[in-house]
Amino acid sequence: MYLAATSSLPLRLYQWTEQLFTDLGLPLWLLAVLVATVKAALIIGFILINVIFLIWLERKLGGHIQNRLGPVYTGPFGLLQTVADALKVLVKEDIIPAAADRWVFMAAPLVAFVPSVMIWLVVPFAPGVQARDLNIGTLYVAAMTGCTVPALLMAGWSSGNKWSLLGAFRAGAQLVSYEVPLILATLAVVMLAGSLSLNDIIRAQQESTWFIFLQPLGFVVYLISAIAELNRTPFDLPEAESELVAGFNTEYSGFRFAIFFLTEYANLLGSSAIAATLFLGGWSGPFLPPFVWFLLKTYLFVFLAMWIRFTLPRLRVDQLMNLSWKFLLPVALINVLGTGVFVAL
Amino acid sequence: MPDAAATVSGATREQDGEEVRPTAPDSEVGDLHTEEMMINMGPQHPSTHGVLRAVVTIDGERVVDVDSDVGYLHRCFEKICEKLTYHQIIPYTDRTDYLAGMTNELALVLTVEKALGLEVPRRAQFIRTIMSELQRIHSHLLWFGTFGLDLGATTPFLYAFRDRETISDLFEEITGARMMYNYMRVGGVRNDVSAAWVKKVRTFLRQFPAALREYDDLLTGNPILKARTRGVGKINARTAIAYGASGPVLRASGVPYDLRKHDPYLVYDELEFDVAWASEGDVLARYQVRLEEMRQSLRILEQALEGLPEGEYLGKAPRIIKLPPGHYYGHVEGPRGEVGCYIVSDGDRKPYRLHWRAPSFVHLQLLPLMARGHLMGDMVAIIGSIDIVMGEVDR
Amino acid sequence: MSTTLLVFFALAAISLLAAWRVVTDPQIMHAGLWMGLCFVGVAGIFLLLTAEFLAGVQILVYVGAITTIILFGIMLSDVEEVQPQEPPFYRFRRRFGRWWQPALPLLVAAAFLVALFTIYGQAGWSDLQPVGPAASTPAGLDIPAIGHALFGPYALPAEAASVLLLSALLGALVLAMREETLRVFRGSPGSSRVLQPGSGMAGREVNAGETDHPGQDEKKEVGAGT
Repeated sequence: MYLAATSSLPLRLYQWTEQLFTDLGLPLWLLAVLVATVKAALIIGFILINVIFLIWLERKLGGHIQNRLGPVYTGPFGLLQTVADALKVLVKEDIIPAAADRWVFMAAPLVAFVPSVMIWLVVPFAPGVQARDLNIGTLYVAAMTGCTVPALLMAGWSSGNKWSLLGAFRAGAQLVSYEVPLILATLAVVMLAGSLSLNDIIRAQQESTWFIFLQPLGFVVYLISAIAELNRTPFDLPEAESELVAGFNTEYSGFRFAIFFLTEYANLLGSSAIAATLFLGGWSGPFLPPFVWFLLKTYLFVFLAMWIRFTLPRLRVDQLMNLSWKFLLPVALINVLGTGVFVAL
Repeated sequence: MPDAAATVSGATREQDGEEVRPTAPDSEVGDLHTEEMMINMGPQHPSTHGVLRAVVTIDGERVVDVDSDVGYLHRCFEKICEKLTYHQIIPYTDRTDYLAGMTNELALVLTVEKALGLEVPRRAQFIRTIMSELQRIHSHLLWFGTFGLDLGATTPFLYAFRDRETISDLFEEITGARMMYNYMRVGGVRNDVSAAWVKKVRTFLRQFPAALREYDDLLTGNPILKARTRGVGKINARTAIAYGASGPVLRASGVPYDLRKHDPYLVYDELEFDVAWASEGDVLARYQVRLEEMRQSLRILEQALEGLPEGEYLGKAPRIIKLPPGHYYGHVEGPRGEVGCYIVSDGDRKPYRLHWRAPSFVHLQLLPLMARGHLMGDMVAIIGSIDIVMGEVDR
Repeated sequence: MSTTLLVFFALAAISLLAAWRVVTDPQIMHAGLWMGLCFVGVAGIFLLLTAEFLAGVQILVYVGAITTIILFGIMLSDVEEVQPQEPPFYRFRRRFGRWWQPALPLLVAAAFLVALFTIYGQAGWSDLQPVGPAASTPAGLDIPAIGHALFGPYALPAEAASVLLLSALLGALVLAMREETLRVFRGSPGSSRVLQPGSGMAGREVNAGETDHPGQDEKKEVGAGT
């Protein structure tokens, strides 16, 4: 069985290392440190590689949707374009405006970045390949997503620029509003699975069917809210270029801007991975190895988000709020109610 | 290291040195008052279409007031014209509304021809008509693309530019330039059009309706677009007339006034077309009027190509043009509205005074009326919908 | 001293320092941010106590929502700034300013590493050593128990709290509504400064009726959401 094979690989690796440690008489806490470092490095490596690919993919997809080619010159199919751009951004001067609140300004990108990495703590890549199976998995994800808001407020406020400030207002209002339907949509899934743990949710889907079939409404709500949480078109108001110049990251340059950019895509990837886990059965699937299934499903959402981005115009602030409070929230509540009845039956 | 607390100020700090005027404290609501923020939109801003600086007073996201500050692109066009002979002015007119050079040149040469009482060969008139209408589509396509960008839809821009490119190529083939044509001459046009070129225009006419349908699919039918534009930036007919609006802005406010119909020049009176107009006066109406104008331009082009006669393309005109002393005004329906050329001549080779009526400048005055009470996002849509060209506003 | 104890002290120190700064920082915005940090520290302590649910809720509600709302409120309001007589840590900074700048990131990195190890470092991949939630969670802190408590014996207090919140919400709405209505009566205050068109065609008639803006109090609605 491939499932056993893949899940036993890290197990064997771990046992082997443990054996090595006992043989060499090394203390076990060192083993713990080693394991933690390897896990963290793997996850951060996974994010970085995928983000580099994602940025390329977005430009390439956007190009083809818009009648052009996207990056072609740097590397095969322009694959190295992101690397080149990243290098370019990293050597730029790190400008801190005189009117900025220095410390808050400097800290904001990091505060934004950390939650986007933290989400991956509970993401199940494949059976047994998960940094930690928290029993509050989905709640943890929601909590981490919520941590982005203060970071954006910090960035916008500390820049000392009115466009940034407006962007921060929008970001705060938008993220907080869309978090509610997002969590409610997740809640319906949790009710079906009877557990907050992402692994249990996958297991529940293996037993019945993918929750997208049981929760079509919840899925739609989740998708819309997630795109709004990610500040992507048609909900890209916090950084609406044509309105707010660049919103909360107007004043950022160089490395700090790169971090914001990285965060944005890491969040896209994270949200997609969570969506794949919640609604498409995560890594489970026939024929292909689980990790491949996981990636496929994740990228399905990524593709969807990008497709939407290059198709729709942007909403207006009031329409954005109306959509959340007057449409998504009631729908999500009804969905939760319906799911409750369904589960009770 | 600068101390953090020393460089910090509150969230409502003002950078422009402008004092914040708190609203009158109200006894009933006590401390609960909001204050407005003054924000500089431009001259470097992604969607002010050039170097417009709009000083926007906002209350939250709501626009309380807009003050447009123009002049960043002032090049003394009118003053320079006083030092130039009429033929030398022609290339300068391209640079006023740089997105519609053909119609600008036309406004000048028509005025000069009117003053001289010059008869222009029919072939030249047809060529001018064809060029004007191609220019209209050319300009509206750019507007369509950038309007989409203003609303956050990036894709229509590239589709519009795909088709705009075809027209640019057509212009380039005849005039040698893609933007600054210098093509119209007093008495005709600079170069004749070839049969092969006419064939290319016909091909474009065949293909373009499909492109227009594509635009409708991309943007027009989009519910977000409708929600963003309907009821936004309303201007009623009386206000529009009072402000001297013209072109699509006026026609979208329920006044079907089109110089091509109401003061026909060239061969427009021989051609069959409808005036595109709408009664709502909002951004959506202006959007629809412009799209419909492109369709009507196609109709005009088809007939003009059909009727294109053989003959001279540049008639007899005096080598040295001296307008008899007097005041002359000529106008054409440009893509943005009435492009007017007012010449005061003292009988010299150069105009004593030349005034350029730029539709964008007039429409910009409507901006505060349109934008007040709307949101920042609407503001961008409104600026996009009046289709200003700063080169023309500042001249 | 076990790692857990070490981490506890670190978290406690962070929370206490942050809490102290909340009340001493002259910059109210900073105070709000310090408060967020304090909440994070408390969440960490909850985690140490294996009250994972509480930690999650702490972050979700207090960091994600309460702090946000408070920061929002500060940003939206006209705050009188208090200039400190002497900036915090001034003497310390003057003496050690040269080296503490590179040292601080190192310190933060070290703290992050410690946190990382405690979070990730409970040896092995999770599925290898299944630790049942019941085994690690103290009684009364696992999720079903909390749910049962909330909707069982403590249903009344929970409902009372929600009614309280609802009334606060409505109160905020009423206050905001009054403000908006009043503004409409006064007319927009900025317009007097503007050039009024000579034609007498006021923009008012253009902008008044027809369009309505339901998003006017979106900021208040944000408050309503949490």
